[in-house]
Amino acid sequence: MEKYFEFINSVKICAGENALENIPYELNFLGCHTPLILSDAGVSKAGILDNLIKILDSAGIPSDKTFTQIPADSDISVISEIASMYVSAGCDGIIACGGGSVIDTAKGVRLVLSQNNVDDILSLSGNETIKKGKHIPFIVLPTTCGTGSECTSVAVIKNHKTGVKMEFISSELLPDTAFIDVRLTATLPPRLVASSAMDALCHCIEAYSGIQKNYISDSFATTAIRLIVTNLPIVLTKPTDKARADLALASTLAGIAFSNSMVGIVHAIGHACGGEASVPHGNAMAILLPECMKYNLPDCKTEYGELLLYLAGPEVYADTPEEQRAEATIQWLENFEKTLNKICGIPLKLSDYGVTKDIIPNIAKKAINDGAIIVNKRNAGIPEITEILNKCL
Amino acid sequence: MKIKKSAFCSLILTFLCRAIAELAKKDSEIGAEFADLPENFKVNIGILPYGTYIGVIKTADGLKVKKNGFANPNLSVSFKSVPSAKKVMLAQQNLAQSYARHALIVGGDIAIAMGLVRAINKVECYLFPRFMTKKILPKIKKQTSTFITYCKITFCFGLYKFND
Repeated sequence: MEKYFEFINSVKICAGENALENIPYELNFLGCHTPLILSDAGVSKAGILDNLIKILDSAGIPSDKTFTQIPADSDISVISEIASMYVSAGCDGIIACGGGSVIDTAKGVRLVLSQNNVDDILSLSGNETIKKGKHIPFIVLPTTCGTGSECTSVAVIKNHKTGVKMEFISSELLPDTAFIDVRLTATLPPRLVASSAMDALCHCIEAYSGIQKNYISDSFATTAIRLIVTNLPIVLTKPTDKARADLALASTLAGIAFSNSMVGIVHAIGHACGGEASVPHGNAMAILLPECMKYNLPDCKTEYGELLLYLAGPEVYADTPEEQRAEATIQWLENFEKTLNKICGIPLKLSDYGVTKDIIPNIAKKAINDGAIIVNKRNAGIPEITEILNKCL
Repeated sequence: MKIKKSAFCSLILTFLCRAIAELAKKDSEIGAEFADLPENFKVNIGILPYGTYIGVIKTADGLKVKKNGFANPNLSVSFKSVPSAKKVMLAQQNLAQSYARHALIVGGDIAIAMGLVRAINKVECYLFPRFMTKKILPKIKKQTSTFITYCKITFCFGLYKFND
């Protein structure tokens, strides 16, 4: 009998040409007439919000309820502030326009509101424990092509006063609608495109090779891989709207895959590198991915071998003997990253971010307590993670 | 049937929690998983749908076990159904596999739950013979005897009296 699995993606995805113009219809469909718009200073400065506001104004939907000061890490005090603003401004829905921290903050705000203004949002942290709450219309406009947060049932929220970062995993966090439009990622600089796309690629590879994988998430992961490896070099060298749009969609598909299969050791160590040494998430993924795959190789030979087809294409796959495909996959990824490094300077070593041998024990200790480590196919403890980190210095 | 199943759940959970508390004293690696937790940190381990829970609390004298669990635990780990709990309790599946198959729900800090998962995996290596666990758990170096552990958790274990 096939092992038990669950799969959920209730998010309506509106993608492609003129997608943003459908926002008024979708808001109306969800019963939202006065949305609260959440974003950050960077997105606001890049002029991305202007498009949204113009579209809302032209449909007669109020666009003056905005909060654009969301910090880089979502924070419980900001969430409380926004939730109070939502109530006092008489809003009836949320639009989140931004990257991972904006979307996670919006998920937190919606959670507080839907759970009857729960006093302490951290009391809801955990995995699959949040009960169905009041429906708050929630649409998301992702402005990066990496997190996939618009389609994930995961949020990380920090209490900056205590330094505690809590993870929430629940289908209650899934937005109602996500808009994937090329205008949202048009201003992303090449290096950021590369690192966020590597994050998405990592989501796919970990989703495909972890113990929570299933047939449905595999199909999302493999489609996303093809879209990333085909379109990322184009976006970095001769960007076209089609390539940008496909790359953004790939990130969403990768999000659906890993939201259902979870990620593994690369993310566990990457989160710890971010916490201990402020290594940007996408770059940490790119640096750690090959070494972590080498570590997982004894247990993931079949999965990595299969991935060669989607990464390198059918000709390379067919020309490579079956027993060499897994190693060839890792080699292909290393070459791909070297190419990205030449094009846009994406770093290939943790030492580029000031990670030194003396903080490795702290990173390793944090990594073994990351929720992602549990679904990694090969067990890893502090000694194994230390070895991986040393190789990535 | 409900009483029978509930009693069965209570029995296996009590046995597991007693083993955790006992081995945390005897095995330094298991003890280390609880070392950083503050005193009075309360964990409930339970089986749904009947809501059978057994509690473990960290005290100055080590881990103590409480019948029926705590009203407000800091961390709660529950199996969604009796069959899914049985798979873990009978060493047919490890906790990671159980989590990956959505059989396990966690209320509280997932990072702390990871330490508990590692501890339970090691405890299972003591409780079951190697031929049962070799497919699901890595081999560990035992620091105390399984026979003595069984005797202690079966005959010499008092439940913790705690006003929750």
